[in-house]
Amino acid sequence: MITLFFKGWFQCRLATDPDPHDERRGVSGYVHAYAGEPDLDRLIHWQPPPFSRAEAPAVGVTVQRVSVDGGDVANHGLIGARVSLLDNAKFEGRNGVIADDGKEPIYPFHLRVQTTTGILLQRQIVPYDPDYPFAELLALALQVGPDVARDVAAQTGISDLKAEWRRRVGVLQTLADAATGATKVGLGERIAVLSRWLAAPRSPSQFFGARMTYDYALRSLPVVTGWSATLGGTPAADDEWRVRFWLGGWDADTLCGFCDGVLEVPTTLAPQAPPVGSRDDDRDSLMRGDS
Amino acid sequence: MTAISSRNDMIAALHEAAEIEHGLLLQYLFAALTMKQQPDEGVTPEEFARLRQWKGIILGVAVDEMGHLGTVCNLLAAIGSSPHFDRPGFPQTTGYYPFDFELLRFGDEALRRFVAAELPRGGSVSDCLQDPILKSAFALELVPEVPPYEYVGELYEHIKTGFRDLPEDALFIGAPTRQVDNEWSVEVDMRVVTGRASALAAIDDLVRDGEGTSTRRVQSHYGKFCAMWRAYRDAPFEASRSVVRNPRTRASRGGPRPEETMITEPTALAVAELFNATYAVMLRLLAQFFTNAGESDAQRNALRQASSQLMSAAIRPIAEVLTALPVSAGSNDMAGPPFELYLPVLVPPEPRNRWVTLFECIDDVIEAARDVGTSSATVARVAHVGETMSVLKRTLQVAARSGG
Repeated sequence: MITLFFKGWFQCRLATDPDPHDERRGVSGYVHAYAGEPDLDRLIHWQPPPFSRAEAPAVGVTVQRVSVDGGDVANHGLIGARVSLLDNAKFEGRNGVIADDGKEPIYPFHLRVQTTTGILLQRQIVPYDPDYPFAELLALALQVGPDVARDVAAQTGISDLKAEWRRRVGVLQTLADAATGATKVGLGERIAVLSRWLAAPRSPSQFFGARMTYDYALRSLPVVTGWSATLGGTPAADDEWRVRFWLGGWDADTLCGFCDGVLEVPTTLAPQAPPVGSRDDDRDSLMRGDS
Repeated sequence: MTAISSRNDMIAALHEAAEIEHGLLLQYLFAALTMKQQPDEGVTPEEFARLRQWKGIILGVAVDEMGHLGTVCNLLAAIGSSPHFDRPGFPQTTGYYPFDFELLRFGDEALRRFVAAELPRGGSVSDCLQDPILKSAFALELVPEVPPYEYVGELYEHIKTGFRDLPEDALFIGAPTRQVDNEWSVEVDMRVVTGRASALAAIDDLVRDGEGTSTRRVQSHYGKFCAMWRAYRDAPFEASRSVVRNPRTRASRGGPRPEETMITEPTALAVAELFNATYAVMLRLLAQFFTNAGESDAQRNALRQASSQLMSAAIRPIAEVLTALPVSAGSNDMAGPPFELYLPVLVPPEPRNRWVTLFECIDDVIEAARDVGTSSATVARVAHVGETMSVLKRTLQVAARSGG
């Protein structure tokens, strides 16, 4: 078993209740696309997105640690690999119709782990019911409480989001003073919203210390390329991959949150026949590079 | 209106109040949903920021009115009557109400009417704007007969007096279990009524939300609309799409009247009919929720959730699609959500048939959304609404099967 421990910031620019889930600019929910910003699109970016707000954290979920059969492997070839969601993954709560707040499924869920050296692991969830693919994708739980908040703070390095927002307002004001046109208007909108949240007894800052937990079984035909036995056995073709992670530390201003999780890839000791291709007809690439 | 001296008098007055709350919330929704949705629709970034803020405020007031309608239904339930979701169609300019009820796009005229609708007793529109020229356009003064009440707050004062004067034990015969609380997915403020004291408090709350008090007007609907109107008048711009007045899919009886606009462009007509059917489903869900015929708590909760979710997941998206469709072939004017009721809002008395007929209505919407939504890219969002409605139906089916 190879276990990949991954973490990092993600971004999701999504409208929130009571705006329709596909609202593009945001009106009555707390998320707005400010002047000069592209439309809201709900896409979950685990890797650097095309647009980020000023003062947003660097988005990028990467493998931080690898263990093989329970033992950590320093300098493992997958450390530093980028972990991505493919196929335009979105939260599909649809204003509570599919799921309540904090239980939103991520759909589709198609995971890729890729290094700059050419190693690639890729697999997705195959829904039991294609007409209703959300049942097995719901979040397991919305976790809140002091212990959770402490862990989120430790992972993100932000122990007081409101203090961070206060600092940020000053930076944004400096940027706004030097900006022109739509950018200036957008920064003004953002500063006004942040200032209102800072003054309010209840604000979206309350979401920062919460986290949604997920536990998915990936059962599609796996895609593995660039693999070497030195990485620790060979990915087993028939066993599911398990990915468990949480999403939390939601910063409603930068529209970024933190991801922390584990991907378990069962392996066999001896190289085995390549798994049979993916649904994307990526068969030719399967196990390419296997030694 | 003379003094309320019987249960039937009270029911009649509360029906009037329900129709006013319902009619106001639809007029507010209509105006908000006609507002421009993208920064590239001929407005500056500053104007777009302003119009978005106004749209949010108007939608918030509409949510308050939904709560008011629910509170009026609680008042009706408390005295042993049924909820009232029916109302006359738009436009309603016959003097039935003391002010005109019309669906108007966001702009000066709509804002003026909103201020009029929420006027504190004894006030005038010019108090709000301090612009005497507008006084001649004030709808109140166009009503041909002396109205029985000139302000919404005055109607509620009549109702309050009735609740104070009628014998409490004889009047409040409704089961407390029929009262509906505040557990909605949006922040709806709905008051539970179990006797005279809570009825009077509920009415005070309705009036306070609308007109405020002599010392606290700013946060009232009146105060919010006054501020918006003044800001708009100081720096006017085209904040709304060119949506026609009182759009309809069917002419009113004896119509179409000059103030009605028939939607004739085929796609717009199909989407408008879909909108009306979806609106009817929402009212149908509410009616079933408010009139319990043995549904379990879980079933009632599913009905409540579905009615609330429809607002964001279906009503608003379909309305926003409509405002991008020409009302007639080649026209530069756009259609809008008609809020027409083709049938009265009724639910069968037999528990099983309540679900059967509800699902038939939902199926009609799902099918129409799929058909219309796949007809062209400009209305693809409608197909997405249909998919969401399918999930909503699935949830309701689970609730229905769970037994009552």
